[in-house]
Amino acid sequence: MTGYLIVSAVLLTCGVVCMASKRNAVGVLMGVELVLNAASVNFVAAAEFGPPAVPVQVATADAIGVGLDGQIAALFVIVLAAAEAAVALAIVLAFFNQHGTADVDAASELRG
Amino acid sequence: MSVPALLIAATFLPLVGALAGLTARWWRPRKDDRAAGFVASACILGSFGLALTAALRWDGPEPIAGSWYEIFSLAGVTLELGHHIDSLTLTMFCLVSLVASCVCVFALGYLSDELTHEHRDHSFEEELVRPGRFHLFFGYLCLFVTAMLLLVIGGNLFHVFVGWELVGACSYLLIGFYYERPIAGAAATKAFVVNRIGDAGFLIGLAALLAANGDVRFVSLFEAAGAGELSRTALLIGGFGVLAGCVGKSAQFPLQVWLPDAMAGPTPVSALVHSATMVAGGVYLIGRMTPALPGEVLLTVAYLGCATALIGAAPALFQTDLKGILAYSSISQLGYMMLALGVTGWGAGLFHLVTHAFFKSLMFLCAGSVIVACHHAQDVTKLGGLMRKMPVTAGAMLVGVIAISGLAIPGVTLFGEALSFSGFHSKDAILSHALAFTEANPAHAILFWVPLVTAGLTALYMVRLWGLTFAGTPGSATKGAHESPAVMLAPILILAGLAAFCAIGGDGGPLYGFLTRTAPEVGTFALFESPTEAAVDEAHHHAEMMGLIAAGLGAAAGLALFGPWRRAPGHARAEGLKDAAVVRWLRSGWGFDAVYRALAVRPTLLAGEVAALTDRSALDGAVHGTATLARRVARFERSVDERLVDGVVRGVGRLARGFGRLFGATQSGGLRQYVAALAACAVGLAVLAVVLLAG
Repeated sequence: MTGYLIVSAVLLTCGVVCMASKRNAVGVLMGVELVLNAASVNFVAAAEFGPPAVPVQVATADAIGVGLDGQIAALFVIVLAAAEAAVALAIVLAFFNQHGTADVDAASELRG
Repeated sequence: MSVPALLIAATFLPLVGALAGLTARWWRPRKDDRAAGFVASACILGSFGLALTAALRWDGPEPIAGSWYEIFSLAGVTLELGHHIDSLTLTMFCLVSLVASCVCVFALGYLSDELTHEHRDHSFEEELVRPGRFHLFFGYLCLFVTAMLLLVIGGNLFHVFVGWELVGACSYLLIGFYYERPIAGAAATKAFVVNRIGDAGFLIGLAALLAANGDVRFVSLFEAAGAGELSRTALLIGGFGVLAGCVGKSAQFPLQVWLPDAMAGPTPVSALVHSATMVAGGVYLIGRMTPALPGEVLLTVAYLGCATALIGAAPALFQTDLKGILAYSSISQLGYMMLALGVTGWGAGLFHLVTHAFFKSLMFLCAGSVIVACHHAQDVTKLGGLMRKMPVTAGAMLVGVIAISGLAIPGVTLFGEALSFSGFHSKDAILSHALAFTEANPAHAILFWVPLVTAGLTALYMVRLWGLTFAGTPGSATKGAHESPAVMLAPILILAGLAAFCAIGGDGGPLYGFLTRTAPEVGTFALFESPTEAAVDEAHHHAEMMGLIAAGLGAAAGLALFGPWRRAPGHARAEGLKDAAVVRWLRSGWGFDAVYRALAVRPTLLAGEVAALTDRSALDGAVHGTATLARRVARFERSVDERLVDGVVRGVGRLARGFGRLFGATQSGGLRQYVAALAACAVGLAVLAVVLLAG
């Protein structure tokens, strides 16, 4: 599991550095994807190798746990990432139309 | 209609004319429109008709008393408006409305020079041009008639006081009708102020009687006084108080000074207000109050009247102003009336009131006719010889002169009547009462001799007036004079007829009989002995003879000095006397004005100036000091406000702004910085968690 966590940490660090250093908005989005994927790796690893999942005490008798919580969460992250990418790219496009550039440093209207 | 209803209608009918006159500037804006004058004349004539009907309908000697409106009734004191109608009321009603009718019609002609937008007033050095005030005059005149009738109908002393003050106000307005002239304004103020002095006394008397009786209705007052229910003090204060009011209103000594000045008003006003009606109000009230007056008051009335008769007559001898002579004559005649009331000659005094109203208003209207004809020249030394140019006026004036002088031809009778005019009968009645009184009380002999001498003086100054104006060679101011139009002559002729024949039969005639139908009984007094009726009758022959001799001597002297055969210009003889100090003193009305100026007017003005000075130095100083103090306190407060309170507020503001600046710096707006900061924070939190969890 350590290996998975190391990969995840490397991915996270790469993503954050990418987000903090890239001036192009698309590059920043790529960093975001990396961070999200690092989280997905962590979910999957924790589901596979972490302590067994305890079925959630629920009111209804037919509700049962299958021990796939981490994998499901990773799937959600992928979907979320897709949605986020779509929205973020739309914002970038709009920003580009407005300012003629995709440089995030030019987006400083919120200063002050 | 009942008698009271008729009289109430007669009282308020002229109010319609007053409203018409006062509002005419809106409904009749054209200045050459006499409409308001016609409405006023119609209203006053209607009033006379109603009064005459009431007088004919009234039966019986019982007075009719009634209440109109109770103002309040509190703690046993009642104030109300109401009427008291007896033969005196009815006589006064007919007299006032009749004279007012004549004067109103006369004024239609007299004031026709006001019927223009550019009335020229020649009494200024630089001619004054102003819009005419024809309508306004009739408004004031009708207002006066209403006020006067309100006074006369009054059934209680309070009601009379209301009318009393209203006629005073109207008199003020009418004297000051030519208010652009300083002399008219000053005369109006003088009349008003002098009357207030008397009215202060009236108010005190009214209050004393109200306090003593709780009710100032005449019927109630007379009943209480007759039954001896009122205390002597209350009767004395009440009597002297009311007398003070009457002295002011009727221009008696020592408050007679306002009447000669009041001649500054238009001549019809002098005829109506300041000779025939308003100034007779005081005599009327003394007559009305006679049953409630104690002997001291009556004797004071007699002496004041006696003094006034002489004080008025002497200046009249030397006046050069046409209206001035008549004014002083009015004072003198009012003195006669008061004298008669004082010597228990109730009927004689009020009889003279009526006859005097007729012949004096007649003479004033004749004077007005002359004044119009001679372009507002009033100086008798500049008149003269008007007999031929104005025969009707001259004849009417002669009737007035004979009437006021009390001249008659004894022994000659016409249709069973002595050949005499009204003044002879009334003056004869007064002298008879005075003689009977002095015979009963020899200590008061002066009360007969002074009026007797005055009767001679009256004849002298009246013949002088007529002679200087109408006889002799024409004076400088009579150029182009011609007889007045019919609208002015008709009232003069009516009044001439009344002045001649109203008193027909003397004290056995219809007028005297009607007037004395409700005469109060002659009381008995501790102070003097009232003459009996028989004594008066006995005195009659002596008094008649002596009065006639006095008047005849006066008239003879007048004829000798100023008669129609005089060839010298009108002023020659008057000039000769001009410079004598005593003449100047008498002409100025015994110098009363100067004395009052020194004793009352100057000290009042001085007190005013002292008060003003005190005001300026002491009171103003205190006020200014307070203001300065307040300003200092305010300045101190301001500094506290600015430094302390504002400082705190500003400090808080500055602090907030500092924090804002400090934290605002982190809001760089740069996306990458945010990410870096987030990452740093995440790392920091992780490190912190590791350290803390490890611990």
